[in-house]
Parts: sequence; structure tokens; C-alpha cells
Amino acid sequence: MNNILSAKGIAKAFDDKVIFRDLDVDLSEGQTVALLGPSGIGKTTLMNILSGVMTPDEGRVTLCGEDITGKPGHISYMQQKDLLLPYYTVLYNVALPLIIKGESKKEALKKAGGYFEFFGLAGYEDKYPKELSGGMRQRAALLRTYIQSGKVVLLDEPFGALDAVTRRKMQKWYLGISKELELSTVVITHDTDEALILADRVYIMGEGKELDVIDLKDKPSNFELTEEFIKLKKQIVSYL
Amino acid sequence: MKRPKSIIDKLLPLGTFAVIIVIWQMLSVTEVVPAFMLPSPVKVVKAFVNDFPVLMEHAGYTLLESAIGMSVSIVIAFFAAVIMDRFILVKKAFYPLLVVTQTVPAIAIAPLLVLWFGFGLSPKIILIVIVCFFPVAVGFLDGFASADPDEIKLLRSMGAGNMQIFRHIKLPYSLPHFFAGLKVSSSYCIVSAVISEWLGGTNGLGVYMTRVRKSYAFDKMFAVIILVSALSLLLMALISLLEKKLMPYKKEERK
Repeated sequence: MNNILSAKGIAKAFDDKVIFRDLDVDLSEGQTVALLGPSGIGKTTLMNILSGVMTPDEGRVTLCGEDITGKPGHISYMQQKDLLLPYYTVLYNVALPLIIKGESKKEALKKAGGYFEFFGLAGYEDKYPKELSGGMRQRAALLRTYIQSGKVVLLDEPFGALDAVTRRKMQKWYLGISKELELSTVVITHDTDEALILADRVYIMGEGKELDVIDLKDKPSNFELTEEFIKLKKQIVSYL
Repeated sequence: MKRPKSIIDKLLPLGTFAVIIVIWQMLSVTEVVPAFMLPSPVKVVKAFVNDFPVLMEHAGYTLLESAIGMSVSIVIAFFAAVIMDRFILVKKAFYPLLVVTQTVPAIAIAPLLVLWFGFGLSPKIILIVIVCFFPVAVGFLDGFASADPDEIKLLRSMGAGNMQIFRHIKLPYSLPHFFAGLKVSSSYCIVSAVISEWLGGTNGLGVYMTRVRKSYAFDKMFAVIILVSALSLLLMALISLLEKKLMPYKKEERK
């Protein structure tokens, strides 16, 4: 399979503190990759580098073979905070990336509106973010991310602010739409379960600054109830 | 359950107001306070009605000065805030100076302005700008600073430039702060106009006030004072209306 997004030899230090050196992350088309690690390990820094908002000290990031190191605007990421602008309607929020890119407002709103049904947001176009539930806001944020960056999506603790039940639902839902929309996803999380449920491959970021990789192939549909899941979880916990 | 309570909330201050008026009327009628010093509310209303055309003519001038002064204040405040927000050094250099200008009493500089700029519109407008500029500028500045850095980062990741970030993040975030500042300014605005009219000029409520004061027409004095308050209230109501129009999402939040 082709690597749609890849980071090679990434190094980054803030002042004298080395966050990571010589780090490789690869994302194949249609795959989901999880970066798992405790808070403060540099997950978000890595995300900033992948999205081009931050330039690494060394290494390159390529998207479909094109160098996008330090160039924002190609891939977007979604955070735990949904970051929907409170003064815009849900529809306008979702269409914002297109408006920023210079599409006409009418065109952008029409294009964005076309996805509302699919993302389970139909009927909420003209509401303000305040009026939506946490899960719906997260779906709106995801739709905005999708509209901005197309098939490559970075998620930074996407469902961390939701309650446990909603989080499960959102993870299941995400598995469904990522398959249907053929999304390639990098997801950052400190939740081992979430990494195992969502990802085809898990990168574990430990104190050693090296990445451990676990590949998960052909997961059964109720993977989180299998013994293998428990086994992997134990293994990961021992890494961390 | 909610509705009757809100009606009571509205009636309560009106009731207090009515009681005060009644007490005032009684004090005048019973001559506890001599009528020439404290005219009764009925006399004040009569004076207001009798002098209505003259009052309106003067009010027109005062409102014109206020409108120009306010508009100029808002425009200057906006650009000053944008520049100070963009260039942190400018902010550091000028912000303390702005605070100092606020401690200068309007009444003290008004005569100077008359000496420098004459009896026309300009000294009045300048005084209004000096008084009203600051709350609006601070409103804008605080508003720009209140923008969520994560949201700015998000827009950067969309490839947005400074102008777009200003348009989509900073400007909308500044609106509530701007309106808070504007309400403060508006309450100063008419009063500043009146004060500068006291000191010189041929038209305006301040001029009228000086004339009736010199002729000891206390009933007219009260009539014009009430008119000045009413105009300030009207201006504030107008700003609230504009606020609701420009920020429809605020209403939804309250639900």
C-alpha cells in the first residue's frame, strides 16, 4: 500500500529539551494510525509538525509525495476542543475552510451543506454551536476537518472531552464513516482502548523517544471484547 | 412561572420611581421646601411642555455633536486598537498614555478647548472624543486579546492570513467588549456635550441650561436635566438594539 502521509527523521527540540529525534511515522491510504502516549510526551507537537503549523528542526513531512514540511493549509487537525466559532452557525463553521481558501460564500455553504445528512447533522445547519450536544459538535468539527483536508485527517484527542458512553458511540461512528469516506487518519490519544479500537497501527510514544509499533490487522467487529485486546492492552501498559 | 416574575422585576423599579415622584410632589405642595428652590414635578412637566419646541431645537444640536463625537471616537478607537494589537511596541508605548488621558477631568479641559477652538462645533466634538475614545478603544483591545489562540491556530492551519484571522476571529470576539465600552462611552457622551456647551456656544442643551440657570427658572432647569438623562438612556437603548442585531448568537446563549 502507498504511504499517503509520511514523516521521516523528524527531530524537534524546545530550547535544550529534546522532544524527539529521528522519528518516522507512516500512514497508508485508508488506514488509521494511532499515536499513543502519556500527556507531555510531545504528541501535539508531532501533530503540529504533521499539519505544517510547526516546522521541525530536522526531517520532512510528505503528503502524496509532495513536501509539506512547515506548510500549513494542506491537512487540518481536529482537537479535543471542537473550536467551533460561537458566533457562526454550524453551517458557516463547517464551510469556513472553503471560505478561507477563497471560494464564494454561497458556493462554500452549498458544498458544506451537502455533507450534513451523512454526518448526522441534518436540520442543525442554522443553529449555533452552543445549541448542539458535545457529540454533535465533535461531528461538526470533524466534518469541518474533512472539508478542509479531504481524505487525510489528523485527530488530536478527538473524543477526550466526551462522556464514556458518547465516546464509545463516536468511536464506532468514526470507524463507519472513515471506511465509507476512505479516510486516512492519524489519531493522537492517551487512551489505550481508543487507540486499539480505532487504529490499524499503533505507535507508542514512551520516555525512550523511540517509537514502538503494534500492527493490528483484520480486527473482528467486537475487538474490544476479545482476549487479544486485553493482551495487547497489557503489553502497551508495560511499554508506558 | 418565569413570565410573572420578569413583570415584577420590571415593575419594581418603576414603583420606586413613582414613590419618589409622589414624595417630591408632596414636599413641594406642602412647602416643606420652598417652591422656587424645588419646583414640583407637575411644574417641571409644564415647563417641559411649554418650552418643548425650544428644547428640541437645542437637543438637536447636542445630539448632532454627540453623534459626530461618538462616530469619530469609534473610528479612532478602532484603528488605534488594531495598530496596538498588531504592534505590541506601540501598545506598550501608548497604552499608559491613554490611561492618563482618562484621569484628566473633562470639566477642566473644556474651557481650554473653547479658548483654542472657539465657540463652534469643534471644541465640543473634541471633548466628546477625548472622553469617549478610551472605553471603546479598551473594549476593542480586550476583545482582540480575548480571541482563543487555538482558534487562531486552527485558522492558520486552514491557510488563513492575518486579514482573515482578523475578520473571522478577532473582530467577532471583540464585539461584546466593544459594546460594553460603547455603553460606558454613551453615558458620558451627552454629558460631555452639555458641559462643553456651558462654556460657550449659541446652541445646545448646555446653552439652554446656562440661560435658565441665570434666570433662576428652576422648573426649566429640571426639565432640561430630565431631557439630558432621557437622551442618554435613549442612546444606550439604541446601542443595546444594535448589539442584539449584530450578535444574534448572544440571544441563543441565554436560552
